[in-house]
Amino acid sequence: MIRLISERIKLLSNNETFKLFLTYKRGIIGLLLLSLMVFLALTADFIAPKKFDEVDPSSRLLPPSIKYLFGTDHLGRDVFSRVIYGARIALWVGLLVVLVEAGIGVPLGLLAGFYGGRVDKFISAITDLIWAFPPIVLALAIVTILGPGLTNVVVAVAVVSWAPYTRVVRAKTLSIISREFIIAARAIGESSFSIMLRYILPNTLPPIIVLATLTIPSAILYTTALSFLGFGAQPPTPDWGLMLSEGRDYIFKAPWCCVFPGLFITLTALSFNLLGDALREVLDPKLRYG
Amino acid sequence: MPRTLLSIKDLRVYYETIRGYVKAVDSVDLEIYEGESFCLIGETGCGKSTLALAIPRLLPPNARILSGSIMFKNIDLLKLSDSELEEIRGRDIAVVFQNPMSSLNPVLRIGLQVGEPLVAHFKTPWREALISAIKQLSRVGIPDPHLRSKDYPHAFSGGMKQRSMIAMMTSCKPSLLIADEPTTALDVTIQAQVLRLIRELKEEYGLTLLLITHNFGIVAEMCDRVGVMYAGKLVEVGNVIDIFESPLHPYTKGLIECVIARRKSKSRLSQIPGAPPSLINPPGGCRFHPRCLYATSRCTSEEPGLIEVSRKHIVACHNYVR
Repeated sequence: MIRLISERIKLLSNNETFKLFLTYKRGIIGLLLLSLMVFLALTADFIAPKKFDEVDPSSRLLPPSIKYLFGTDHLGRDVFSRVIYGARIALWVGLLVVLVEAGIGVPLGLLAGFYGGRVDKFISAITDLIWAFPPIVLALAIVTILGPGLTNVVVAVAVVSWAPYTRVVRAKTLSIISREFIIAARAIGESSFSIMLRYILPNTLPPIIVLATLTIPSAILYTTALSFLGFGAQPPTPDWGLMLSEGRDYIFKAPWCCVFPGLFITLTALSFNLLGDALREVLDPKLRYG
Repeated sequence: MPRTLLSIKDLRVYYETIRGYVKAVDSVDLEIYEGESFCLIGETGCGKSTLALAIPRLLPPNARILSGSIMFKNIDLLKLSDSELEEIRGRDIAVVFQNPMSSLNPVLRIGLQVGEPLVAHFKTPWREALISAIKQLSRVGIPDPHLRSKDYPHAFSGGMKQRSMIAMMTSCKPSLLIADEPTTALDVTIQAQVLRLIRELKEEYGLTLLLITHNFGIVAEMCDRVGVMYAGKLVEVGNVIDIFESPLHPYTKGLIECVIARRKSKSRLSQIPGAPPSLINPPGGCRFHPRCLYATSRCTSEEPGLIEVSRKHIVACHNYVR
């Protein structure tokens, strides 16, 4: 097992793309920050000193100390533990939103780029329509219909923000479809479906990966925003947005209730942005060989 | 008399552009017999690739096939639905393209791509397709096919890519192989090897070859019969010996005189005066008349039909007898 891992690492360190990635400081910082978040999310059960919903009325609104690293909130819950459990929710939600977004946007983009003509016009019109809507307002409207809850927030945020995927995939499809290997694929008798699936889709992956790293932070920000407004996670879920919202009333008396969840939202978003930025440059062959 | 494999009648392919229709292939009749090597020759932009790609209907979306029929084994390819055509492509008709650099999918391993036609047409399980892909790769002369079949196309040289293309295209043993300038993008040293490979496979699998080129050396090397195209028209068809020894059309004569190797020492390289005409508004009458040394008033007004001069030697010229 260990040998397998060390072989993998050796292979990875010989990989040109990976070597290039290592030259981007931003990317490394982003990756480290993100690794920290993932680590916290995975090991929350072991490293959190308290449970996220453990109420202790005797120690309400205590400032940060050795015992309570990030202080306690109005119910005496340990903010540090809640923030760590929050990482789990934020990352999970971000991932889920991106998956749903890509699930809607990528097939539409493929269809629009591949078939062109009326199909393209129809899909592009819908994409523009979604794009033109203020996302938070539309998401709010959808959550109002579906009712509050984290799952519904995921659906709402995904439904309002899949448009970039369609656009990127459509544009990439258009540029790939005129390449000779697509004609060659048709020449060996491939059906349209397998050309889309086996020839075009894999070639659109690099921009999709970059787009995913760039949309995860906004997905996290939107969901925390909806939670802050009370439409998302319900108490006592340790959602960062919800924690901000609950800490708001004590912002002058106990700022740590807001500062730490806010800080972690920022850091998570930042880590994805730094990583995405570096990935974009690493995966862009024009910048690489140009 | 050899059997006809492919029969093209009155084929017209126009490209729709902003400036009008480009008449890339205009009323072309052509017969290709089973088992022969037929060469289409002509300068860049004369419509030879368009003619070849029209057979499996692989034309770009702005191409319009306005009239004609393409009978392949007694099926009119122009009347087939897309899914019927997909069955024929790769199984009965295969195409090798000009630029091997961009003809392979950069994100699929070579072995998978070479085995792909078998999976697509005969529902061969992947494992078997891969095994036959490796055999096919070793047949076309890729060293260590076991290892190299796991490579991605970027790890292959141009010649190896073209070999892999040929391996992929012949994996279903098609009856017609269309090779659209298969060696133009390759090094001179590799060209001969690739041509030899195509010729060997042709013998081995009993393919009929339709080769497109602008190189008379390749014609002499590879072909039984030659068709000369000029400005979207087929102007002369004949046996390779007839075309070289006694070309009838002034354009064919001009082309052959342009071949550097045939030039007498120290004489100036000959050329055909003028430039190829616009295919949007081609000249009336014979399309070659503005550049023709023998043009008469009849040539400017009346379009010459194909005249059968001798058996299997056809020319489209009013005054071929001189």
